[in-house]
This record gives sequence, C-alpha cells and structure tokens, in this order.
Amino acid sequence: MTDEPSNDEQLETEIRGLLAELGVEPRHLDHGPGEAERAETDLAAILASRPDARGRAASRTRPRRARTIGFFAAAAVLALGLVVVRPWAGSSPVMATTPAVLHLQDVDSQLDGGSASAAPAEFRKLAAAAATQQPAGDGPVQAVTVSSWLLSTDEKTGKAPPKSVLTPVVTEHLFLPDGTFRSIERRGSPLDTSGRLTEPLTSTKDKPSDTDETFDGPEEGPDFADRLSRDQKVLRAQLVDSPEECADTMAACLASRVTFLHYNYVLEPATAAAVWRALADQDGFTFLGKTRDRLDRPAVAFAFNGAEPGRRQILLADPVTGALLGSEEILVKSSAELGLKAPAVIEFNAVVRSRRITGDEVPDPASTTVY
Amino acid sequence: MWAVDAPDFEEFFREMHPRLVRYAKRRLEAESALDVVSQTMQTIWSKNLDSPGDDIANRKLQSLAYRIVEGHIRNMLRANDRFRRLTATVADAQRTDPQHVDDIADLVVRPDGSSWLSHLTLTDREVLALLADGYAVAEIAVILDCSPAAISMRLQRARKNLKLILGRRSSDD
Repeated sequence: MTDEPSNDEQLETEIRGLLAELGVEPRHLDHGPGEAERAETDLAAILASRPDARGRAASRTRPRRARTIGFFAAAAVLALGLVVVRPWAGSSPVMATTPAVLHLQDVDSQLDGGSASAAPAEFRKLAAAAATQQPAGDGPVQAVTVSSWLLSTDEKTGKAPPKSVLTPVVTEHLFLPDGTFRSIERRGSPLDTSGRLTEPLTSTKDKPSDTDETFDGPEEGPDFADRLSRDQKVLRAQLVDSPEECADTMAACLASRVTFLHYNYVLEPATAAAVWRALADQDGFTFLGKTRDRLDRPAVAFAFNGAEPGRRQILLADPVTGALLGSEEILVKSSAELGLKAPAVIEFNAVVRSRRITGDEVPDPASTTVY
Repeated sequence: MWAVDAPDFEEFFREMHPRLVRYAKRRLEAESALDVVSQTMQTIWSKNLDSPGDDIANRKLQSLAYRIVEGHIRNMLRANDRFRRLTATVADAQRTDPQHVDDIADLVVRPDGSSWLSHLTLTDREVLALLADGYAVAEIAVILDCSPAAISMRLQRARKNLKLILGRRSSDD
C-alpha cells in the first residue's frame, strides 16, 4: 500500500494541513463590498470604448503553439504592460509586403506536391546525421539565437489606416543554470517594398539591444531538454502531454513542441536524433525536397498543415548535420482578414546559433532588466 | 468576434472578473486589485480576440487573462517600489508600502533565506502559494497554463518535501 492520496481533493486537503502545521493559514480573498458595482462600471466603460481603437490579433488558434510561446508572451507583458509589437497585430489591410516564398525543389509556391511517403525516411536520415554530431559546447549557459520578423503596426495614426512594416528581429535566448531566462532582442531595418531584407539578418549583433530582459524561465527548468527520453515513443509522450488538445492537429502540435525545444534549449545530439525519429513516426508530414533557407544555408524542407485552415507550415533542416534550421508559416489561401494574397510567408524563424557557452560569454548582467 | 459580439466578452468578463480580483488580492489591497483587473480586461478587449470556440480555447483565454493580470500586478508593485525608493530620503526608508500585503506569494517572489520556504524549489513554492490561498488543482492549472496532471505531480512532490521539512523540524525539536 502507498500513502499517496488517491485524488486531487485529498491531496489538497493533506497539503493544506501540512501548511497549517508550518503556520500558513488560508486568507480571506473572497468577494468584498463594492466589487460587483465596480465590475459593472468597468464592463460598461470597456464595451463603450470605440471598436476601431482595438487591435487585431489574427492568429490565436494553434493552441499548443500559443502555450509554448506563451512563456515569452507573458514575459513581454510583464516587461511592457502592453504588447506593442507582435506578429500579425493591427487592423487589416496589412500594408506590408511579405518575404518571398522559398524556392522549394519538389513543389510549387502553394506547397502542392512533395512526398508524404518519403518524409519518415528523410526524418530518419536527419536523425542519423544528428546522432553523429559533437555536443555544441560544454558551458553551463544555453544560448540560442533566432532570426525572425515581426509585423509592427502603428495603431496611433488617427483616421488614417494603420501603418504596418515588417521588421527583422534577432533574438538571443540565454538559459542560465539558475533557471532564469534572458532574452536580448535587436531589431533591424524594416523590409523593403519587395519584401526582401535590407540588411543581413545576422548583422545586428553589434547593435545595442532594443530589449534585454531576464525573468524566471519555464517551469520545466534549464535541464528540461536534457531530461527528455532518447526513446522517441517516450519522448513523444513527454512532448505532447495533452493529446486531447491535439486530436486533429497532431503533426502541428508535435512540430510546435519540437521548434519550441530547438528555439530555447541546446539539444544533445542523441536528443536531437530522438526528436527527428519522433517526427518520423508521426503521420501528416510531407517531404518538400531541397532548398536554401533565409540565411542561404542548404536545407531540406518538410511541410505540414497548420492548426488553422489555409495555412501550411514548414520545417527546415540541415541535411548534413541534422540540425533544425528553422520554420516558416505560409498562407496558402488568400485572406481578406489579413489583407494578404496567397501564397504569403506570414512567419519565419531561423536558428542562427545554438550552443552551450560559458558565463564569461554572457553579455554584461548589468545591462539586463530583471523581472 | 468580440468586435461584433460583445455579449461573448460580457460573459467572459462576468466569469473571470471575480476570479481575477481574487487572484490580484493575494498581492494587492482590494482597490488596487480592482484597478489591475480593470486594466487586464481592457487589455483583453483591445486585443480583439476571437471568441473562444470550445472549452480548450476558453481555458487558454482564461490562462491568458491570469498572465496579463500577473503582469499588471508586477508593474504596480514595481511602480510602488520605485515610488518608495524615491521617497526614502524624506520618509522612513523601512516603512512598508501600505498597498503591499506581505504573504506567501511574496515569499515566492522574494524568498526569505531563513524561511522554511527557502528549502523548497521555486516551482513547489509557486504551487503551494496558490494552494495555500485556497485554489484547487484545476484552477492552479489554468493560472499556470499547464495540465492538471502536471500540477498534481508538482503537488505530490511538494507534499513529500513538506513532510521532509516537518520531519526535520520535529527531529530538531
């Protein structure tokens, strides 16, 4: 027999009892006088606010993705109080040009074609390549640098339509051994009218950061990736801990966990290999052939349906090292809501660097804002 | 869309307002708690999000509301701290902020080295702080945006750690 409580209620009761022994008593936080009236006043004021003063957040589905990046979004809220720059904020029509769709070997710009049957074997090739790599450094700090871009919308343009520009962003994620997470963001110049970068994505390194924030990292801790199983079946269960959320979009869910891992942690070669094997076991991926990524690196590409209809997502990997190079989201059905004609690249992330570094290589702690 | 379907937002508001106020009152006095919840609701309204189409989406939105209110709470506490520092030269620097209620949640953020809480991990402390304030597993999962199973697991671990601490205490006595 075990003394483990058999259900949550018993567990809660027992722990509250233990806390009481330590002098922690429940406080009275329930409804106070005047709160109901205040709520009604606030609600009326909010509903009366002008609808055109409201922003537009177009992509709020993709439940798991929202969860994984929620950590960073929460940090942004902590830092700013208001989110002023975010992907696909602002009202339509969007007045920015999206980057050109990558030229993919085996498919057209709508991502039609490719081979679903080839995907598992190609994933396994990546697994084999990843398994033979040397660990990326041995320092205690995990440093991952990701290039992406944001749609920045100026919503304070009076009666004029909101002005939107696409801005490349290089974000350095530093996961420190004490569990804190530092995010240093540098924004480049907006894309030109053809949607091309006006400066290389990686050239912002010497620029002063636009934001430099440190906050408590995800609850899983800095060694989360190291604790993951190298058995792909166990690993998959560890990554998709709420399968009910992913019932119809398992490929997208699994892929979003995979990109979350790669964009925040430095994976050991064996873990990186297991990740690819987990993807190989999952239906829903199509092999798109060879291409070159946003940083002009040779890559192979895989597509899968996004959680939202009319969108396809792409994973890009280095066929030689088995490294994940990045991901993209493509609108394959024109959207009046977004003011975009398909095909349109609506998001991309490219891993610039993923390496364990020493504390000496971490930028001066005095320059970060700690939350 | 809430842009054309305010009743959906109203329903959300009526469900979440008391829950968010209760959450904010853990760290702030009642009036300030009402202020940050008002800001939170305004933030969510201004995001112009789609109405949640199912239970999962609704839960996500509730988690988002908790994250936003937590951000506003911290902003307010930081502002209070800044104000206190600014006035420290003309007032008693040790004076406590009248809006700031010391409680277990504060220990989570700024653990007292001598406290028994310092023996627990940050995650354990976070969950225990919520449990101590009367939250059940399901609601803690919404607040921390993870599955109830994950919270149960953390509570099991926290329970073991608490028992260890109590055991050490009794053997010290």
